[in-house]
Amino acid sequence: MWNFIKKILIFISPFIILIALEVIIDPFNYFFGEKNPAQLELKNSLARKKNTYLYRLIEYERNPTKTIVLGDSRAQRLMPDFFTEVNGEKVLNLAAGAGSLQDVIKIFWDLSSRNKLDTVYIGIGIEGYSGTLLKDRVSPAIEVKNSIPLYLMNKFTLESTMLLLKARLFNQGVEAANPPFSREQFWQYELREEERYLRNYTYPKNYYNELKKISEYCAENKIKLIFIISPTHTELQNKVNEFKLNREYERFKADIISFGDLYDFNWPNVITEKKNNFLDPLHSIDSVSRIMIKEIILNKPEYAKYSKQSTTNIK
Amino acid sequence: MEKEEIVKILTPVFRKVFGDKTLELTDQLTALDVENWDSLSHMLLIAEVENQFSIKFRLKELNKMANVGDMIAIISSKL
Amino acid sequence: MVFTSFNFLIFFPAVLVVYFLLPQKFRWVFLLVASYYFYLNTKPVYALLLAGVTLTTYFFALQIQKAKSEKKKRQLLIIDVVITLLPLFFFKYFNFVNEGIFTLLNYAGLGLALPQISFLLPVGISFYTFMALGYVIDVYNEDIDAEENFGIVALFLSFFPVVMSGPIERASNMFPQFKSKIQFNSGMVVSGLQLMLWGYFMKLAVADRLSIYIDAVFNNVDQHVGSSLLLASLMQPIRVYGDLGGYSLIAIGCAKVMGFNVIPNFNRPFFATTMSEFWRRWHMSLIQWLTDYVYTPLAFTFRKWGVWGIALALNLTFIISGAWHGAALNYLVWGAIQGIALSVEMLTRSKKDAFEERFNLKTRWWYIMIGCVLTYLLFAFSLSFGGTADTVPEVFHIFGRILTDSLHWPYKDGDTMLYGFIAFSILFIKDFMEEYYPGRIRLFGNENITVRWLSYYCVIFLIFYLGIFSGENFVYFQF
Repeated sequence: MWNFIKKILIFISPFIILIALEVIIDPFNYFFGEKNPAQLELKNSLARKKNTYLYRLIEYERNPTKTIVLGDSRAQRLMPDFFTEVNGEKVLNLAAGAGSLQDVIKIFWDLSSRNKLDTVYIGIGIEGYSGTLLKDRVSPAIEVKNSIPLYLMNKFTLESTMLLLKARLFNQGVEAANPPFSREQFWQYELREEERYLRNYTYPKNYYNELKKISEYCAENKIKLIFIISPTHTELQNKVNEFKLNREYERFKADIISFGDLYDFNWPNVITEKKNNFLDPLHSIDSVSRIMIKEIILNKPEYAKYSKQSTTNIK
Repeated sequence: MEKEEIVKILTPVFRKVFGDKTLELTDQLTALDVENWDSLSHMLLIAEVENQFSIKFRLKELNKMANVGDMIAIISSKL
Repeated sequence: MVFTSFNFLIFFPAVLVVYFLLPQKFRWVFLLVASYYFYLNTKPVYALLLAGVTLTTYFFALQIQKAKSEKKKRQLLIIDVVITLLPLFFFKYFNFVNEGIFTLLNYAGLGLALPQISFLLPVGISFYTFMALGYVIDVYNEDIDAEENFGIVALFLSFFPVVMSGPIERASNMFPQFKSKIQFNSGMVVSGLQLMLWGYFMKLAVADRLSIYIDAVFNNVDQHVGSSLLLASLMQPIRVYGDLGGYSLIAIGCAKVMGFNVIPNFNRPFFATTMSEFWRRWHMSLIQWLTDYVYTPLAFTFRKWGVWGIALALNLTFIISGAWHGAALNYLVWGAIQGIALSVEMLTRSKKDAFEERFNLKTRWWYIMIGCVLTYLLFAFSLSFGGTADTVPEVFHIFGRILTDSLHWPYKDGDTMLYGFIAFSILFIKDFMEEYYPGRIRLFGNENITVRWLSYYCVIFLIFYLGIFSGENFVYFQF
């Protein structure tokens, strides 16, 4: 029998080593905070990319802020530094690429149940406000975060640990990723993706109800709820026309306005007509993000169409 | 009744229920040895046997029949 | 405590260490304690219920054995069956019957509102109730002697590998094993661990992964197109196979590590070419139980009616099976579908056999494949009743949507579908090889230790990469 036990111990030894590595390297700052800025940047580019929600939720738990930004990849471009530049406020951006409204809703309830929030910015678009985008990647992230064994056995943790280990061993820094497409190819690809979203658009009754609940909660608890429609290039904006979803788009905006204030940057203007202001039809460059944030914080809408929350069109 | 007589009456019954004209009965024969002999056809067999010998089985006795030999013994005890 | 929780991953090795270090005569006592500890980790109060059922079962078995007259034995049996079924009936069917009575009264003009009860079903009650009944009936039939050792009976009904969700064991199989000398047998331990590993793969990588898609679709029926509903319906049998089949393997493996042989529950069900064969490969312990204790007495009673008696017995048995799965009309319909399918197969068997003989079809691979596919489709169709929607109208609503709204692409969930497909393919290939080319490829069973260990590491890796780790999400749980 003891022979057998020895065999078992040898068999599980790789797993022990793996767990030790995960704790020491700590890609998601789960066990310790990360003080070294170079390491932090590395973790940001490697671990955070693997599972943005897990990374950000842990970050939030270590350093909660009173203001948060939620949404998809467009909202992700509203960097915390841009906020600090304007009024020194500390902001945490928990938006993630391909984030759904389901994600936004889950994060909102998770964070608001633990901390008093001041301001919540939600980046939104008609692609997300649709009955077909229902994926929830936040709940699994929260589960992993709350369970040490789950965290240790998670493939995101495993992969990030390996990548960080490799970076440390070979003394690599953060490398700019070389995109496999050319700018023009990617431009067209994003347009096709938008078409796919619009083609499958259905009115999201579930999201309407959920956002309404959030809106009411914010009103009761004096939380500022602000919606932001980030600017997209006019070529993409026209797709709404193309797919004859104008009525739906107006309804979408009316719904949002009933939930909270809205800064709508997504209309034909000097910024949105120029391709130079965009990385791709969906995402604007940093200088545009800076402009957006300044207008919102100082409430001086110029490139934004500002609508104060109004419940005159209640369904 | 002698055992051979029982087997003589029993064999055509088995052959009819399981559709096998060449089936030969042995003491060790079980459902595993005969195609088409399963829990569905078993009850048909029981009913036919009861008919042929004008006997009535009891449910408890069914459980005691592990093979044809057991069945013959139980039939014999009722005659 | 669930097999897929981390608590169990700590509990089980701890139990094993103590179990093998203890001297032989204390082992079953320790197992009993461990089993109750395991059960108490679900909901403590229900352990009292389990203990209660154990006491009645123990007592009545002894009384039946002691009774002198056949009449007395039968009376005691009936009383025991009623008492044992009472808790199951109460927790599971009270609301259902309640509503039925209410509806009838309503028709008669008496709008009485009877009180509804909302209790959570005690874990495993459907399983241990059946095991308890089986034991007492076996004593009545004189197939086994009544057990004088209360602890053994208690262990039988609470044995932690099987108490939650089967396989449904028999006293005649377990009692002797509990009482015998168990030596540490590294072969059995390895074999048991292999079964557990594969069970975890089936449950975590196949079932839980597919559940993401299936649940996303069926929890939001009106938001999805008919083709999504169709796809999810077609995935259901695989999901249940991964779930219950995987869980059963973990249970069987777990028992095996400790030296016990528990009956198998699944035997590559999707390679059945008829529904009759399917039900000899799917949830075998339940079917065995139903055959021995429900079908046989019924068929015996109806034997004067020839094939129609058998058909009646079949249908009643499967409707009862449906009721065992759930207290709602749709489960009964599920059961009836099985009963009807089996009856039809039975009634047409000789004609079918003759047809197959004539064209020598049984050896043709395409004929076998058609049989497998049709059987799968029939079972998938029946599962729409048995576990997809909650009411019969809802099921028909889903069918309607499938028939009228399927010209769009189904809901696409890239990751889930890809990983689910990979996991299912691995499972399918394994079963396929075992079914048609057994022994051809040996991974877990290879003589070379490197091959074996590599396979283990591979499967573990696959479980981490394809699997879902959210613990308690087991379809058969509320039984």
